[in-house]
Amino acid sequence: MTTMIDQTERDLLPFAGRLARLRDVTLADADMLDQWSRELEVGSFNDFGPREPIAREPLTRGPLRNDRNGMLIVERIADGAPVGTIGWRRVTVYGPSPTCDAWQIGIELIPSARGVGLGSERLVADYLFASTDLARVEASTDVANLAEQRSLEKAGYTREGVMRRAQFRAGAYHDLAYYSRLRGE
Amino acid sequence: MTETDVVSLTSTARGRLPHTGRTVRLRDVTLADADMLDAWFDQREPGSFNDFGQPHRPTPRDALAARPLRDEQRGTLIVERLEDSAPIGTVSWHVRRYGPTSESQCFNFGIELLAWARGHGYGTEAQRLLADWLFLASDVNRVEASTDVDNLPEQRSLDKAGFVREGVQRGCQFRAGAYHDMITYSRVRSDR
Repeated sequence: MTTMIDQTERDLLPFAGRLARLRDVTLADADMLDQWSRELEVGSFNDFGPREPIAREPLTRGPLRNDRNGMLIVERIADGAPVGTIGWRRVTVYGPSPTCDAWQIGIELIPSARGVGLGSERLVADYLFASTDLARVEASTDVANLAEQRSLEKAGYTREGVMRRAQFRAGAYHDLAYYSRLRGE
Repeated sequence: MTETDVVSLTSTARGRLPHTGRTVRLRDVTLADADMLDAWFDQREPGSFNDFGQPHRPTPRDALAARPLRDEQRGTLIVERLEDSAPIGTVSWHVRRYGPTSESQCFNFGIELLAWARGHGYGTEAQRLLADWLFLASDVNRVEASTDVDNLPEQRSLDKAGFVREGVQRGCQFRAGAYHDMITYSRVRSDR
């Protein structure tokens, strides 16, 4: 079974929903992405300390996605404005064969695009199911991040449990709520 | 702090082996165990929860001649019964991470006992000992294990060994032609 993201025959980007679409990152986005990183609220759920500038060189060669991980820009359809990123990486923890792999997603929207129900979490799962052969898309979020938990539930993800004291951030261990969407759900 | 600090098991001052309990002890794998481990693999029951239908990779003798079977990312120990020093199985672990910080790494472990050694509480003690030893020998804050939702003996064993049931990862493991749900259990330092 192959799990490559095929960039030719199954190139589905941009991948559009009702309110948002996902598109590849290009070199022209690099300054904007760095700006977003600098503006990330200190102490917020995605803040693990200062970030390195995004590497330009890989962007000159092509989009930021391969068979291990990837990142796309979330664009608001109403005005075409880029409002955040959504990324994924392959998790290989559930068994010895590639058929046990899953995609774990992570999302980061600029403040003005939050809480308006753009549906990015649903879109990225749809995109990953359409463009790869893996059967599970999962997401985890701090138990204190109620907004993201609501988003994931609205996007059709099922809450699976809480991984206790799993993530160290801002000087303390945090519990992570786990969610997943399976192919066909 | 370097990337692998919290999962480092290289300190000689902490977590000395063998780690001994009431009925079993955990000890390092040696070159003398290689034939036995290969034979155990060949005797594994087809279709059992640890059978992924993968070809047998022989125990790495060259590596074993130089050092025990553990590094910064994974490791294996032998479970030995105290009363007759009989090796009855293995416990193994690997690093799993829940975030970009070094401290967000934890250990996920598994156990495999010979059929005749199951059902006597040896596995329960071995899993408790392994978690104790990993907390002693490293700086991780969390030790976890997952098992098929149909593997009730292992769930009972993890319960008895003091692990907390956290949730079910749906359809995450493909084995024997089908996707299986897995239950995750954990112990964190503050549980003790």
